[in-house]
Amino acid sequence: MRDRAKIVIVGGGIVGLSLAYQLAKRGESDILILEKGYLTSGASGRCAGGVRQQFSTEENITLMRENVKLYEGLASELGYNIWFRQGGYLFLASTEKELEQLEKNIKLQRNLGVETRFLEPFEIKKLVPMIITKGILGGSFCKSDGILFPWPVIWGYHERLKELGVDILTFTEVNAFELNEKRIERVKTSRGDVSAEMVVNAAGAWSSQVANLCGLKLPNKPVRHESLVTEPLKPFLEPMIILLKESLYMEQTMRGEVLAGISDPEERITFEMSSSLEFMERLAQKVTKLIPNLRHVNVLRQWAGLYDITPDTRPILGACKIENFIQANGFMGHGFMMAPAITKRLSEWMLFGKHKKFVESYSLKRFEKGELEREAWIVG
Amino acid sequence: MAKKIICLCEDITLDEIEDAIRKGYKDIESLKRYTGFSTGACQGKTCISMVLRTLAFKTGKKPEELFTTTLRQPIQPIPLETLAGEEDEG
Repeated sequence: MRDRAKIVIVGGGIVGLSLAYQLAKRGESDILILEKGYLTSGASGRCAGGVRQQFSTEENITLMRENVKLYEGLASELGYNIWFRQGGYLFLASTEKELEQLEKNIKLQRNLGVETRFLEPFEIKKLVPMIITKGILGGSFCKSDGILFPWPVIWGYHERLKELGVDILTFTEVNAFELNEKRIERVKTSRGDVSAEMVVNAAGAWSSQVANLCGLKLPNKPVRHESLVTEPLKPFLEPMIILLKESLYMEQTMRGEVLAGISDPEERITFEMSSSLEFMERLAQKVTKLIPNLRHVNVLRQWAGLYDITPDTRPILGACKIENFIQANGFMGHGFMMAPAITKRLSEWMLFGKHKKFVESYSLKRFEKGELEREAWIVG
Repeated sequence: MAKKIICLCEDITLDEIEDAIRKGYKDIESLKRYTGFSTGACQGKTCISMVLRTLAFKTGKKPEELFTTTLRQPIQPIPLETLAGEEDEG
């Protein structure tokens, strides 16, 4: 293993890889990525791959508008098929309160140039004929939202990064940081030590553990979310469906499987990624109620992954009390969605000092000030 | 030469497995996610041992050193209606 790198990135998930790619694209490829497992072993190999612009804050809508554009071009940029399919996202409201939020969001999204529109129940039926619309008051639909397949995105970045001269070490754990005053001098890993000018914490749900190694406290907590897939079916479901009442999502992947998840009634704060029968039962009840035609479809497998949750539902980026330790975590289960645009800005901040205001607004400091804006639509 | 199919559900050939190993995907979990083997209807029941044998041969390791992929529930495919059970709520 090499003994120095200009930039060491801890975490080989979508955030770490995409940041390395943005840096390398701008001429800085003296980068070493350290991943404690295999690539795709964390949340980036477990997520559903949804990419949507339908959010509730101006900040997230604007950011996601840019991310959709970036994902539209990523396959040709990487020279790798990322299976991005823009079948839209369909949010379903079952209560007056949800309807109100939906209408408010549609207005905001449209004002920001996102083409979301309101659908009456009969229009929902036209879009997805198999849905039982009983109890559904309306929906919001945005056609340019979509889904991608997370695995090939990771492999595409991986292959491209190798060509760009970025080093990636898998099965390599960070054990300690050697500090000199307020700077990290060396990163001690399970394969040896490496000195670095900058260290990035892109360890997702494990970021607080990594930060702890140098005495930095992050407010992030790991929350377990579960998913399952069924056997493949011929295409029948264009959009990703979000049933707000149950915090349920379901999509048909490009492989034909139905992939679905639903929030746990209890928030499970844990690093454990085990699966539960309760989840499968609860999800099966809700899915077969919404689309009874799926009742004979077989479930093939279930798994779990971790959301990296912050107190105000916003990622944590940029500087902290340790001068050369950069945060890129707290992505709320939206790492895949948000990585391209965020890491693009973060890379330009790291290399050229651009986007100061943007990066600062996401910095750890905001938790001291107490002005927090929350995203209302966190699903799954 | 005829194609040798290792993963019958997902149509993955021996060539594709060997190519992925050459590219550096030398642990069973990333090999699974790079090629897609074992992710179909049988969930690896027919292919994992053959992939492990290939990986062992190519890396010079013993199959038991390479472990296997995490086994995901359910062991057999289960229809959604069976999991849903009786309707017990409005």
